[in-house]
Amino acid sequence: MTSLISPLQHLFSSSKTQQVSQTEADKIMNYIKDLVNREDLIDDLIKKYEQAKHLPLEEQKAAFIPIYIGIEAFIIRNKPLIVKQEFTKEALRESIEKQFDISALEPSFRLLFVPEFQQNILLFEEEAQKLAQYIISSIGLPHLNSAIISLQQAKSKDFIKVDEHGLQFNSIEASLQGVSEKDVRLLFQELYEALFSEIKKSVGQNVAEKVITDIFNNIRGTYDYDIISKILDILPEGVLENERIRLLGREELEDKIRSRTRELDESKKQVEAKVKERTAELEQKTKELNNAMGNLKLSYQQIENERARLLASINSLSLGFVMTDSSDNIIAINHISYQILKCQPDKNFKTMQQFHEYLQTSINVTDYYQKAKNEKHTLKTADIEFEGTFLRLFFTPIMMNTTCIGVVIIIEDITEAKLLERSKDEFFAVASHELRTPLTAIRGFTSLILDNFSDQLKANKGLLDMIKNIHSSSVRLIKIVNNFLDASKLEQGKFLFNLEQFALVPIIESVVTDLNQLAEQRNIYLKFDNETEPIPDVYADSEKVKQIIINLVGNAIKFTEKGGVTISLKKESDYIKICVKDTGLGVSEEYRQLLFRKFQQAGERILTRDAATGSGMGLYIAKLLTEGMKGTITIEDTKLGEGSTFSFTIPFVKK
Amino acid sequence: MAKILIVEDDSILSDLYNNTFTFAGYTTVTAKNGLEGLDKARQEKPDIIFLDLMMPKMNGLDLIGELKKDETTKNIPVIILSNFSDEKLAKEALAKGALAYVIKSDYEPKQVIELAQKWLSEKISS
Repeated sequence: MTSLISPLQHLFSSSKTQQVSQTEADKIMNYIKDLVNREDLIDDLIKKYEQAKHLPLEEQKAAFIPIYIGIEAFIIRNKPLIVKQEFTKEALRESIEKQFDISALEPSFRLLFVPEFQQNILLFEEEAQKLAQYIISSIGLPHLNSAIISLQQAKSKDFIKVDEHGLQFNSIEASLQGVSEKDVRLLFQELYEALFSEIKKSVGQNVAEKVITDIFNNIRGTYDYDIISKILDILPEGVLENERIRLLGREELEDKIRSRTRELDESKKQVEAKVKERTAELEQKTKELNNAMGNLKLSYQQIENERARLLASINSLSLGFVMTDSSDNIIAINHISYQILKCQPDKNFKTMQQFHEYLQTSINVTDYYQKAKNEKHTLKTADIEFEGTFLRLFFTPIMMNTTCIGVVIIIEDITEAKLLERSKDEFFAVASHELRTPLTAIRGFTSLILDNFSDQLKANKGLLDMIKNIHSSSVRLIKIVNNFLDASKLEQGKFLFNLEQFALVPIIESVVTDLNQLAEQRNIYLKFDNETEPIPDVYADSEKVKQIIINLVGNAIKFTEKGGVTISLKKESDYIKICVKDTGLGVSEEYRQLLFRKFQQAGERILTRDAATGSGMGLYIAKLLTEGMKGTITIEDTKLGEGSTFSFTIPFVKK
Repeated sequence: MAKILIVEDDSILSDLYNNTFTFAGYTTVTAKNGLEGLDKARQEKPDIIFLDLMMPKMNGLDLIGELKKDETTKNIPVIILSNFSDEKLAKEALAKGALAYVIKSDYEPKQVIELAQKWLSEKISS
């Protein structure tokens, strides 16, 4: 067997064609090698290539082809990342053909990059040449000549010549202009057949087949199946039948692989589409999630802002502020709370229990706290004396819809207000005493003059009037002082009512008697309309009730010019209502609001008030007195120019 | 005519009541404070005493107490003339034996005389 192979190897190396450019083949090899990113996946080919580079030049050329085919197949099979760029075999070869000078390549390599027609010719020539050279070296040149002579086709004789190196196809490409591929194949089939027959004749069938097989194997070791199958097509019939069958099987297999690959590609495409779709969905979801997170962050920021504002508000209060949650834990307490409660912030109340324990001696905080929670409205404690200060606590439930989620406790230090109240109290007591002393003197002495020196005064009417004026002014001033003192006491709840059971009717009758003269002076009537149901006794301070009636009737007379004033009584639930109706000026809506207020006559028009009518305290005191006796006072009805009805109520004694 | 003791530290008011009662024909004795009032009450044996509350040395309330302790003075009617509108004070004075508590500024001289007449007549009738 070696006897056959070694001459063949020798033939390859000595094959006479144009000078091959080492550089160009190398360039191509480097180019495709560089197309592979993952060189580790073709390390066997790379290794072979590295070895081939160190081979003698002739061997190197042949060794490059299978390495090229191997790398090319790898590139075609793989996608970017593994390779730099996706290629079909055709596109890759075309790309090489364009970039490199393939005419500089040896035909066996070059044929890969040329059009199929040329490729066939190059391939067939190469292989025929090998047979021809075998004949020359092993059987003799004459046998080659006789083989060529035996060719039947006319064209063959024109294009194929024989010399001592082998066959000459120099002009075949040009000469075959207009010849079909099929003609070319037929031409070479005949040539192969002739050469094969010649060998067979000399060395026998077996050896001839061996020679053909060796050449074929060499091709098979070099090229891809496209090219191998071309050779099988033109080999003499009956030779390498098994190879032909195997190749056919392979073609079927390849067909199947191709169709399966297509199917796979199809499902891969579908999978890819789905993946793309899912990726898009995922991206959308991610986007939404990011948005949601953004919103959440924003909400969180807003909550933080609210919290900061709330804390600043709480801490800026001059009131103690304590907030609990639904489990009665203290969740917020401002600094001033500790200050008011006279303890250090390190007391750090955590629960209502602790808070309660601290305050226990003075107030049962828990009772108020629970009550506020249960009744769901604000509760206010009475004034609490706590370590030398006065406190007032407010309990306000925090409602979330109908659920109480905690309580806000406001602690107010009312010590200042208390002291102020007390000093005001003392002030009125002292001031009234000090005012009254000189007033008593003025009133008393003018009175004494008027009573005891009437004879002297008769002679000087002007002097008499002046003294009278001094006297009446002092009396008026005394009344004002008394009113102030009364109002102050009533406001502070220090006014002592002399509560007793008494009949109203005689009181009213006495008022009518007392004031009738005043009414007559103004030419108006004053009557007591006592035609109603029997009136039960009332429970109040009779002096004060009389004072209120006098005030209302006095006002009514003062503001009535025509008609008169009527007093009447009415029973209303647990109260007797005393009504004073006049036909006087009436009260405008704007004054109606101010009627029962302190200094009501002043209002905004301090300079235009009727100074002759009094201190402006009358109705205010009447209101305080009525309320002090558990009644109410109001203006029932009033119309400008038509008159008003004032009324007040006092509780009656139930039998 | 009856003799009236006026115990009043304010000289003008003392003058006022002195004049008031003098014009009405009464005999008057005045004292400028509680201590002096007590002395005068003991010495002069007045028929009625008009007494201020707020006074130096001995105040009106303490004076009532002293007067009521002394057999010779305990039956002299005492009327309080004060410018304090203080119910507690009034009740205390009445509890100690004063017969009336009058706000000075609310009373005309005439009314003060009526008051004296009223209590003097009651004293006589009792």
